[in-house]
Amino acid sequence: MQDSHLLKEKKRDFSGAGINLKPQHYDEAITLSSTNNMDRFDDRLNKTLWFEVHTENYFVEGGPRLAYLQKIRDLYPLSFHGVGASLGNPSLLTKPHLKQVAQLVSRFDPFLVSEHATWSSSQNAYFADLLPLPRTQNALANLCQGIVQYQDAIGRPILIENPTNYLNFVADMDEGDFLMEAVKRTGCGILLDVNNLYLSAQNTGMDVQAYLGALDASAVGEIHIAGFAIDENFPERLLIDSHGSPVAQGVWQLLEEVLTLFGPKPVLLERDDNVPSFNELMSERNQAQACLDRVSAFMQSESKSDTNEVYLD
Amino acid sequence: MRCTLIDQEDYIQAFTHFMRSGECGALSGFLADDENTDFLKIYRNGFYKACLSALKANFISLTYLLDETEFNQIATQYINRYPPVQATLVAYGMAQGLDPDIRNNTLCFPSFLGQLNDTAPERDTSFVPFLNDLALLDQAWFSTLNKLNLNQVSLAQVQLMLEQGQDLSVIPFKLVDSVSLVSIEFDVFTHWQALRFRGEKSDKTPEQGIRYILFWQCNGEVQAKSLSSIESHFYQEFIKTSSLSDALESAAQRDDEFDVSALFADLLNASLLMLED
Repeated sequence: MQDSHLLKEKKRDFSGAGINLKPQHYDEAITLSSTNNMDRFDDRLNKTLWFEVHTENYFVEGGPRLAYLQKIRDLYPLSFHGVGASLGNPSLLTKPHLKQVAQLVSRFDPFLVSEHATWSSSQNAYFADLLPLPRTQNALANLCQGIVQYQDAIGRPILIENPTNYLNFVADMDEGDFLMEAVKRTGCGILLDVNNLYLSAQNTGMDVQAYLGALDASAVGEIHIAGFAIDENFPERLLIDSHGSPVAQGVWQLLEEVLTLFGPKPVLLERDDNVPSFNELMSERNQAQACLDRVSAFMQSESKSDTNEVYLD
Repeated sequence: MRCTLIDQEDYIQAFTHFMRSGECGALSGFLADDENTDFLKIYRNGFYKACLSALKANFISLTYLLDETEFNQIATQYINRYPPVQATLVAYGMAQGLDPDIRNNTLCFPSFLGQLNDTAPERDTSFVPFLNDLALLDQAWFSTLNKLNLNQVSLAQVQLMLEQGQDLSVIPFKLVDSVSLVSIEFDVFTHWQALRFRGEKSDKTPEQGIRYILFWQCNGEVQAKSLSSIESHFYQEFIKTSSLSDALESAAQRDDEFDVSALFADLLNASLLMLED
């Protein structure tokens, strides 16, 4: 089974656009690739579509949830995105947590595994949110310890996602440098959430260009996009990472800029709230794919023109 | 940008205190100078929203019985008292899957509702005394659905054993792993089914009295049935002794009219038996 998957996946373009898969869309995702849907599931889609799931949603022994995930895994590249490991503050909850992650990674062999550069557990309590870390040397050391622990448990490198910032904490370094230092120390990569970056810039005045300039293109292994909400109490000041609406124009623009800067990467459309129909999500996902295609074509043409210039010289 | 040597542990403690209490005074020292501490509420709101949403998904019958404000009020008390002790909300509020050490330091949502029962003022007519029973049934349904259910014995397999002349009384049959036997104090099984699967409330007040409900998985779907007195005795014995023949014998001793063959056929037809490894 594994061999045929690997073979199939090598033929796929992993710079494709994917969707984070919700249970209500299992059946449609599976039937999309059936022969009845060949008009929709064309060769391009076959080579680019992938799905991501929240790892912790599959912390069950058996039942339909895991059975569905297996079917999806048999048809598409699959990525695991963790939300509960509390990398920035490993706690007593970490060890049993990582054991379950490792079992799932071993069983489903996802092509990417990611987590967050945040914390969420302390004193035996899990706060079910992505809590911010102060960007200090101490916090960096803790984060790196959490990443190493995670990577050791699953036997492979992970990607860590930049958080959404709502306010500024004390900091010794900028976030781009903070993440890159974690990359250097642990061998992990970066999942660049463009929506989070957009919101951080709006909420805290983070300098997007300086941020992107600090990141090494080769360290960026995946990109997320999502929709946001305007805070009811502070509409002028705060944008919330809600994943509950379509991607905003400003985020699409930033995505194009990021892809042009770093080159094509797997792009994932996240939607966790007010989840629309599968078709609606697919059409938004296709917009991301079109963005990837444009950037790829542009880079190819640039590369050809560079070659021509060398030839002419 | 200021260079700082803040203690990470102090920061985590201050943030933890804020998440548990809403008091952010200790966190202000970790914020940049002119930050609005009201913005911190976003994190705490996110935590409660996620936990409430998990409890609603896991105890769905209660969400049909209670109005949203009532449910949120009770659930928020639970979240305050017993925040998640696993870094996932998949089974938040449920007893399943917890390490014994952790289990001792927390309480599942059905038990919490049971405690509310015990402490509810006598004249509080709005209080529903069988909330914990409904929650127990939701919990059992969820737990059964997500269990690994392997090596079920089919009728055809047993027929083959008989054709081969095997003595069934010595075959080590056991109940499938997905089985969950739930004891409830009110007769709410039908009520629960109407709530959970049709969103319908019942006008009838359920009768008080211990009932046993059996849950198991068959062909990937959850099955459940209310047990008769002798059936509940049989299943309790079977779970306690892990021996089919002992449980059958015990049930036959208790009731002269207990039909062993019929029950065995029921077990097979319902895919309730597996073979011990």
